Amino acid sequence: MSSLYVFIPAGLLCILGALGVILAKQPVHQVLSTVLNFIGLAVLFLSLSGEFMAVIQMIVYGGAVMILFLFVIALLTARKDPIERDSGHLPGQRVAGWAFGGAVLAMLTLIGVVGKGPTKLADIPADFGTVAHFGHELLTTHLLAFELTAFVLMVAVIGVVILVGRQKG
Amino acid sequence: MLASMNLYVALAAVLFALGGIGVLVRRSPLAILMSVEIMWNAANLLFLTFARVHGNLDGHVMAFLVITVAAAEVAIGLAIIVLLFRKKDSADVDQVAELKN
Amino acid sequence: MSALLPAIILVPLLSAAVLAYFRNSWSKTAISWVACGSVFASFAMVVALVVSPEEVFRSGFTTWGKLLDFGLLADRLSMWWMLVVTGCGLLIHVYSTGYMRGDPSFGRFMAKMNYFIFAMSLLVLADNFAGLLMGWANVGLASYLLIGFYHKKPAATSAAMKAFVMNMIGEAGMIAGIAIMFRVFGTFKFDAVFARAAEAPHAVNTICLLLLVGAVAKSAQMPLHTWLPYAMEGPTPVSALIHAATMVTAGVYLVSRAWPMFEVTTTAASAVMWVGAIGALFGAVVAAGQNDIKRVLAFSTLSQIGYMFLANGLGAYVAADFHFFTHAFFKAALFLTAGIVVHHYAGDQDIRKMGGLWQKDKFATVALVLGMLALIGIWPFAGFFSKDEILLAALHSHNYVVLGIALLAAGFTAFYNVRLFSLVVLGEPWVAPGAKVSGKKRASAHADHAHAEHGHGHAEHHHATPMAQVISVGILAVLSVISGWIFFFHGQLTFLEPAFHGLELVEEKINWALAGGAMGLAAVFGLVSWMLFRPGGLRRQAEVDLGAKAGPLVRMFYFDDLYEWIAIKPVQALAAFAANVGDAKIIDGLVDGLGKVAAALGSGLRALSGGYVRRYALTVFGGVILMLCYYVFYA
Repeated sequence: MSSLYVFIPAGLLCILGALGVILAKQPVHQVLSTVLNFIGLAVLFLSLSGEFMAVIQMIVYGGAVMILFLFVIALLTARKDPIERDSGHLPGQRVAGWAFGGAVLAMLTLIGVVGKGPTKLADIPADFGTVAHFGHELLTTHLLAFELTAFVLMVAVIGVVILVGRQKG
Repeated sequence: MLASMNLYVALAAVLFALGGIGVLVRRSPLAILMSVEIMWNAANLLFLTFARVHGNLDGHVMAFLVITVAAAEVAIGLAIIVLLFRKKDSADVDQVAELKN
Repeated sequence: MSALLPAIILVPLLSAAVLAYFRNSWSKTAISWVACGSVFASFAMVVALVVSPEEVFRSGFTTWGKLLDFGLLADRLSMWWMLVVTGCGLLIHVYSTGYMRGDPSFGRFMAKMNYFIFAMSLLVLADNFAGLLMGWANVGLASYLLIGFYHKKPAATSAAMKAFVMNMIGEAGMIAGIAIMFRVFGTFKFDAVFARAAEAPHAVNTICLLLLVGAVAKSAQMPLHTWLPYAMEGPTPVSALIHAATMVTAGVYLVSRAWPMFEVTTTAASAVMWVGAIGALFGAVVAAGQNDIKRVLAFSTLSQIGYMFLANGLGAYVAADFHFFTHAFFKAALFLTAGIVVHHYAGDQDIRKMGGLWQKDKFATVALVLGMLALIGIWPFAGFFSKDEILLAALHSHNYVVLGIALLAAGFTAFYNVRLFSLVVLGEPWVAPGAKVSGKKRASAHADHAHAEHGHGHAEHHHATPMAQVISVGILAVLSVISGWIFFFHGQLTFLEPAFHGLELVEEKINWALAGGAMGLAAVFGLVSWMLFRPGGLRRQAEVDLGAKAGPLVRMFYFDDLYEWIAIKPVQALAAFAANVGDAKIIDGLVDGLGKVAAALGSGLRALSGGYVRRYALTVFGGVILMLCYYVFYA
């Protein structure tokens, strides 16, 4: 199928990014791997006709959140990262982690591949997933969720201010 | 036109599991946070996939909410991390055992 | 025009927020202007709506999905109520600027008063039950904040708590009723529910009874009335606005608004009627025994609201709303005058320590008398017309027992009013045994001053009653006289009629036999009271004796004590039991017994709560794996 040409590279990109996060030693490398993951996901979103989401993904996640991580790494926690060669305080955690994670991986993939998927895709209008369509949905049918989102963000801001604001004391 | 939906679901599953492994295995709090991000993204992928299947935008809206909440959570999480590890030598999650017993 | 509706509600809210923020930095003059200005703006908008020829105004807010379709509705009924809420509210705000001026928390007070106006407007203007409930809860909060305004006084804070808790009981019933209504009709909107009310009369009956529970609690009718006398701990403007004119009448509004539902019910309507009738009589009788001037007025309010409920229960919604209208004015006038009066007696609210008001302050006396005459229902004062309509409604519906109760209550109304008048106005100012002689001398010297220089007694103030108070009380007193006269032009009937279309409204002419009978009964009771309580009367000495033991009337027929016995003491006993016996002996014993077993398991399990975050994550994943196993292997 022609669209596998899109799916496979993007999927590989995602997986490579994820592997990079869990395996890289340097934190900045991890951040870059995460961004790779996001790019792959953005491409996948585009292939699913989610244009708005793809752009939001890149802007918010890749742009803002990752920059935030970079700032924290660069300014505040540099040189503090644990050298993760030994097992530290928790013996057996790494083995158990890989084992458990591997089990979850295997089982979920099994479900994903073998499970009965949808046989027919719904017909979608031409403007499916565009900004206009998404905006319309968000602000009419899901207005309450939208308002609550604003509330959540406000709570986050207040939380951060309260947490970090005291040091001037 | 699209790759079969099973592939998308499987990919999301793999990403989720990889993120989970990251949470369990890594000791740096930032790494853990990033692994959790990957898990969120896997969920978003699933939402969008099924939005495409059913032909309505509810999945998109949900994914949008997830991104928002994730951003908020990262902000607060990073603030907590910064505060927590300010006085310590290394940023090692295992050293923060105050919830003991 | 209908764009004014949200503004009416939001302007006071905005003003409240602004005042709350600037309450310590702005001057009292600025605060007064902002507070009164916002209520005036709302009032002006309401008047604009009233004089326009349209009958109904609607305004919609955004729809939050299908569950909550929120909008505002101003039909004739809500406009009628809003006139009182904003108009009376404005006058009381003006009064407060004078009365509360000396209080350091003046800004906080005005902010809370504005918040109350917002909440009450929301209650009245909402077009669905959910909005009404939001307004209901908000006025409850406003009431709590304002009763407990003097928050350093323990009596005030416990009174506020009592009011809030009892209202909560009512709200529980109300929420249950509204939930059932949503289940049956699928919507909260008034129009939709009322149109279909006839389809499910039994369900509607249950709903109405539950709504009545809420109304009873909010309007302090029996049996949920015990909070009202304690609510008098709040400042006098609060008692006037919230616990006389507007908030406690919210129950009346609820029943009037839901009239299509009540028309369909069997027992709910008569329940409303009986609650009202019993309340009217009970309030009037107990008021005759109270010694705190504000408590007399509180029970008077209870009694008058009982009349309104009575009318609503009989289906005479217009009569009830008319009585609400006149009552707001004369009761507010009485309360505010009481504030002035109390000020003259150095803040002492005990009427046994008053007397000789005529010499101290002629203005206050006149205002007091006007309000009382309206309250008793003497022609041509306002209360006469509205009370008469209620009695007529009882007569027309051949409910003679209820008519008898109402007449008896009217008699007692006269009784306690004349008692209050006698003890406060007539006679010589009360002198504490062993007080200095100068007190008496000053009282007679002040007979020369006709206007509002109050007797000093123990007070330190040397100012006349502030103009703000004089003006507002004056306006209210005048309104007590004339607000009944719109009856002559059947004004209230034609104004309110569109709100009750479909209902057969009987045009009431004055039935002089009934009216005359009522006034005659009032005159008889009043005369008896005057004989007893005038200076030199039979009971005067006994009433004024401070050391007398409190009889059943003062103790409000022991309702309060009954509730304490039923509800509070058992809870306290249970708490004590749980703390001392349950915790110490039973639970600790169990724990020790199990301790040995637990210790063995402990070390194994302790690893799980090691405090290491990653271990926690591991256990979470373990659980996830278990769930996945189920899905993979069994489903």
